[in-house]
Amino acid sequence: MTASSQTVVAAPQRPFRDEAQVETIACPSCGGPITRGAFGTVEKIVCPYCGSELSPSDSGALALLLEVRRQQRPSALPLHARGTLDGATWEVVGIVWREVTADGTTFPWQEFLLYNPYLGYRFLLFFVYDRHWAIGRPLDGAPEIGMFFSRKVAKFGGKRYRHFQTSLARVTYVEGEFPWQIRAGDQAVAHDYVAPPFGLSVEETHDENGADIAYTAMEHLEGDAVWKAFARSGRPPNPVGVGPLRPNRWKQGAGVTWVSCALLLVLWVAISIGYTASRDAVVVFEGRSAITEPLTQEIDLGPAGDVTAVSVEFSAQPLSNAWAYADVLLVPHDRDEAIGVGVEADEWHGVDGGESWTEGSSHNTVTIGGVPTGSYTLQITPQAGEGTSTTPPVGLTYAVVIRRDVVLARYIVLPLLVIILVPLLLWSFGLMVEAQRWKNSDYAPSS
Amino acid sequence: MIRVRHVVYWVLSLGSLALLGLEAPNGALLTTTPDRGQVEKGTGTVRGAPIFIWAGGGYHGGK
Amino acid sequence: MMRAPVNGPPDPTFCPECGAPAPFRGTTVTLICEYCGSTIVRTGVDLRLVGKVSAILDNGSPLLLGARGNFRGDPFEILGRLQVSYGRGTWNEWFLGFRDGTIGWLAEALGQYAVLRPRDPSTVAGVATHRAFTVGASLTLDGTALVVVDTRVAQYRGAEGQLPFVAEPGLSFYSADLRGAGGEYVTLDWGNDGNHNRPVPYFGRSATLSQLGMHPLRRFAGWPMPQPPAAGGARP
Repeated sequence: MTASSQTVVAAPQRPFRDEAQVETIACPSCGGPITRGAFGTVEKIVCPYCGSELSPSDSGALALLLEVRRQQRPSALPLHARGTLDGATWEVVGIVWREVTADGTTFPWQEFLLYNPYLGYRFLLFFVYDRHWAIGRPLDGAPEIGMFFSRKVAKFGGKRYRHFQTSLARVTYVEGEFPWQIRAGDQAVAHDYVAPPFGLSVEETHDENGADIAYTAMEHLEGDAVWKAFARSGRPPNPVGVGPLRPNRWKQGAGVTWVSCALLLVLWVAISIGYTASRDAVVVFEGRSAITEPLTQEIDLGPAGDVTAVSVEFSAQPLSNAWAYADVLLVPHDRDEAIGVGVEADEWHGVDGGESWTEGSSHNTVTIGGVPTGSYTLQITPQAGEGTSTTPPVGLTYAVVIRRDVVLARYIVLPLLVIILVPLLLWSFGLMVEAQRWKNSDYAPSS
Repeated sequence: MIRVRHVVYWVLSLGSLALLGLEAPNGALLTTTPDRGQVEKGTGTVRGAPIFIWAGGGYHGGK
Repeated sequence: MMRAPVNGPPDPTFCPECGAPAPFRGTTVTLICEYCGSTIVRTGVDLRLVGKVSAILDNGSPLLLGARGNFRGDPFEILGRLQVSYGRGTWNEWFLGFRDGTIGWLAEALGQYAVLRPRDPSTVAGVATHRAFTVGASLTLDGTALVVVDTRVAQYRGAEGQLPFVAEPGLSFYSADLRGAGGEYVTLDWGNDGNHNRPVPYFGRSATLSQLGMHPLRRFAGWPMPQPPAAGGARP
């Protein structure tokens, strides 16, 4: 820089052209080394060692605001730890412990003030009580607070956040540097809105010179992500419960589930129609006789070389505290292996303790599948008895109807159950997780 | 996003639909298993037809 | 509103205190001599020495006097800085001269930035006194739906470079900040007396340094400089 040719003057002082340096200053109270990692942005320094509150004076020296003797408390991350989040480097320059009290229970959390000289500040939150993590970024604007179906909501950037809770947050412990005045005991009313894994925090502060509202966009972070970002060794603390912002894993991919459900239902209708249309349930035998008389007949189960499902419908009457049974034997004409199935009917009634009762059924159907088609000799051998006897009641008759190529409703119902119940089950799991989440909100069902 | 639960859902659903489309006409899986075995002609007739009884004594079990 | 270009050629004037060049430009009213720190006020064609402002506090800003950037395609240069203090800290108001001769302000508080440009006071005439503004209240100014996020009485603390008004250290001024759902940022400035309803409105948007393509930036020990913006510094 050359001075003017007419006037000789000193070279200008332009301190901000020089690189800003990280200073280490001894705490005027305890002498501990305080690293000024946040350069000049700082309004308040709390000595990590003794807790004394310091303020940088205009000359750069630290003015002692409040002398304290307290132990440094261990936080989930140490002061001056550096990590990579949102694709940028951040340094923990301040640590605040805060808590809220609800229904006599205290919920503490730790806030790590992250600093990058070119990007400003972020807030990393560790919820001590359930060990979840979240990151807060200053919101780029003001959300619109309103009602949605009688629920208080905040709308911003096309997203709707539901009001979760409003609480009075207290500062209980401070260490490090802050760009605003902060001290233990500070209180702020915080309104939390959630749309997991995102949230909105609205904090209102009043002081003698004015008032402001700070809007912060929150996002759930997994402990593993924090550990990786800050290159911590070991494993992060295991989280418990749902937390206000943790994504509901049962709600993830719900769209895929329901679209799949719709497509599978279409497929199910098509296949069901195809199946029922191909079955004509032809009656191949119909006979009636006294219970003492066997029946026999040649029957045809369709062209040989296939298999089919055959139903045997059996009824006996009049049955009164009696049973009837038929041994149905199919003897093939072209093979050795015969097929047999038993079918029974019964009827029991009585009076027990003044209550009359009946049970049993005088009409039953048994279905057998995998029956080879072809010609058979059918033989039906009936039995019956009254009570426990094997003597058939007088006048009892029985009837048998045999059909081939029958429609089996169970094969139609089974896929329908799978297709509908699985999404309903996933949906109800999601509801249970949400119920657990909202149990800790201002909207918990009153206990 | 596709998750394991979707794949399980598809496998179960398509499996049960395949059962409906391919196995339901045979009907062997979801029905009563009948007795199967050799029969022989017993003594006597019913209305002129021979009476069959299970071969090898009373048992007529299994597939 | 007609304005002389702020970044036109400097007038050949000199500091009445030390005689160093005092390059007043355009409508600039106050200039802080970069050699001796004196505050020089231009009254008509004469220069008047107001005294030394208190030194600017190094509040860790990455911005520098003379740095260039652009706001939504309009290139600007940082001409001056006003440092403001309130009960809980300080913030910076950087005075911007746009290439088209208009002016603006780059507000910097807690690592957040917004570029604001003055709008005709008639657009918000009669809005309210400073005291009538409460945080959280919604209102529409000149067609923009906004929420009051900050109301404050603050003091001029220090200055550097050029400023478009007489900035006397310690003078209080009354302001309110409002924000919209789409990133709109509005500051109402009642000046040194909040008991009237004709504040000067400044309309703009919040922005990041990389969005503004600010260059050069201050260097900080132990922190890599962000990538300089692409040639020309212009971003869409």
